[in-house]
Amino acid sequence: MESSIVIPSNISINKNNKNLENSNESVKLENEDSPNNNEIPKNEYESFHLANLYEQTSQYRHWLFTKEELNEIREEVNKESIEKVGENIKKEWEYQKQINNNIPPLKPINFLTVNDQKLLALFYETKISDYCKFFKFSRNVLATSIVYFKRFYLYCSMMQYAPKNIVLTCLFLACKSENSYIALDEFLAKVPKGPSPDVIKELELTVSQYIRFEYSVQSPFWALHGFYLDIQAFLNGPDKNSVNVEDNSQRRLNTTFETSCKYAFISLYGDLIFLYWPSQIALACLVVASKNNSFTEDLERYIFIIYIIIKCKLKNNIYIYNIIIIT
Amino acid sequence: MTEVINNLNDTNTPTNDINNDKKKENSNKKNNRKFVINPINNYRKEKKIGEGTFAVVYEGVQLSTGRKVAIKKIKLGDFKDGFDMTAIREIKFLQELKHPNIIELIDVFSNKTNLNLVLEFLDSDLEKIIKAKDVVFSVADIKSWMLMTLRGLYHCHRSFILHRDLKPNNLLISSNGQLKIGDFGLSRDYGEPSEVMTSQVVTRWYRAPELLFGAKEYGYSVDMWSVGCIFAELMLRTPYLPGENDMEQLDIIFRALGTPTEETWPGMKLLPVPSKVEFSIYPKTPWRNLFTAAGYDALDLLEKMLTYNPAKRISAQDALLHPYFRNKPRPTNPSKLPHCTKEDINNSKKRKNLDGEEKISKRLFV
Repeated sequence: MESSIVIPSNISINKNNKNLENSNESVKLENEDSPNNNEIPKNEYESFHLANLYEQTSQYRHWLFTKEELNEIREEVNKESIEKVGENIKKEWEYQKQINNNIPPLKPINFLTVNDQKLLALFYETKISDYCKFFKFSRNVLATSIVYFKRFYLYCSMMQYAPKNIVLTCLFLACKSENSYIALDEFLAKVPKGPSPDVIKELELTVSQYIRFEYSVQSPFWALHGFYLDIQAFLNGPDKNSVNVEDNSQRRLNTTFETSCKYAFISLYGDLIFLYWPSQIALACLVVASKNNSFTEDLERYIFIIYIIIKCKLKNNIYIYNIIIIT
Repeated sequence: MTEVINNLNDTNTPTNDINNDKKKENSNKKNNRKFVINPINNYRKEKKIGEGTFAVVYEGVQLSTGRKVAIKKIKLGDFKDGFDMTAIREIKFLQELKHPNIIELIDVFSNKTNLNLVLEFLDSDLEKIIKAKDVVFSVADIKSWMLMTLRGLYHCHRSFILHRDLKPNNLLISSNGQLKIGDFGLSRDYGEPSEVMTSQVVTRWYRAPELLFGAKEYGYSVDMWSVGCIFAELMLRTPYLPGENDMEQLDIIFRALGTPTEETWPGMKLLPVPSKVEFSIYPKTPWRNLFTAAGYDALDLLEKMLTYNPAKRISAQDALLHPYFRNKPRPTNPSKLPHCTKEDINNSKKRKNLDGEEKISKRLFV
């Protein structure tokens, strides 16, 4: 399913931005070393004002990787937990042997591989989606809980914590952080063969620790909606009252947006959210959706203009749309 | 057109230099990536410096650097639903907001029964300074505090976060005079205007009229009303609109600013409280006699902040662009601002009672 989404080659954008950030940091450090430490350097606020807001998020700082980095982390975590679990099994066997000398010798164990865990994770992510449909949670809760789940199992192996209860914990946590509060008893009462509340409360701490207490998640939906509003302004001008629903482009934009939301749901599975910015994923969803709705030409025009705006570091795009519409 | 895009892209192809940088960055990142799962051993609590209903604050040390920190310990034992939502909110927003005028969350760690937020150590707050009878401050000092408050608040708002509990007590002051917005326990993310929210937020004296009217849909303007009240309080050195209960709060606001009408606030009658209650009509009390030292520009900004109609109330960004901040006198450099770490015991007691009452509404989240 995933392979149907074509992601434009934008890794370089990621990396370039990161380099920029690094160079900024080094400049800041130099400033701090300078003797007049008491006064705030003049550019301190400026850097906050001009910086891309997304680059300040914990998602960018701690949860954005390259494919190689992801694999490395996973291999490492997997290796460590195999050692731990293997050791425990051996200890258990030795203990058993002290009681009963006749037990069969320890058989080699087929541990979970990185790939196994990936496939299992995919299965449980669809489970989260099912739960969300059942509880009628919003798509923000869905996106957030899936991301919590992914982040948790990035630094932890399924051999250490069984996924079923982790799924419920991630959902419960996501409800709290996305303003869809539900009482724990009420929540668990509706889960068949659910664990006791104490289990969830304890896992809540564990999950929070592994996700570094970073509860804020930027999902592609938010970016997608932003693109929708921006493209609408691009097509119609900034005045909301002038939006003509009968207009062909506007109609095609609406259908494209609806389709792209479906792609955004699919994009939640797998590693995409670790590899790309939510806005990049959202744009990719739009590009794919535009092909089914003959919106490609309009979208390409929009992307081209945006590209120029970014290149020239122009600030007020609404103003520029007006110029483009007039000319 | 795609060709052009490709061509533009070509100018962006990474050179060898960038590749080298990448390698360097990767090695940096590897160190970064290995985070300590629960850094409980990196901090030591030294002494208790404050206590609230749900949390105790300690002074402590970050052992790896020797840095002085404040550790806010949130007890978890009493909550039947696990983590308290206010705790989750506070952590969630502070993890994202990195700004000179917003309190820094350094770390979070936990053990079985409590949750600990490691915050930067700030020994004073604006309330203490306002209450300290022996501290004198000038018009330029007030401008400096207002500027820092609005900068911090603007950063919250552009990050789509409503603070919902601004008051002098939550505007903390560092030892070098920097003002930092703290206590995000009532904050929430904002963005979909039609989402229903509770109107039981913000400490009463700083609560915007639309909240007192029971509005379920509101926006960044509720924070700006609070900033207006703080601005007035800084000039008067006493709370501007201190109501004893919600209805009296409205009465006090109307006496001070005049009763709003359908003309000054279109749509007001549709809100829950005004649709049921008939208010007595008061004229506006002239400000000139009250704020004797304030300049014309200051009163203009104050009036824009204390505008009844939330849609017409000034935004944090526009307030920062207001002539008040560009006119003389220039805002005082933070390091030269008056400072006070002592606590006036009588006043803090009074405030605590008020806080306790407000805490009840804190539990009725959403």
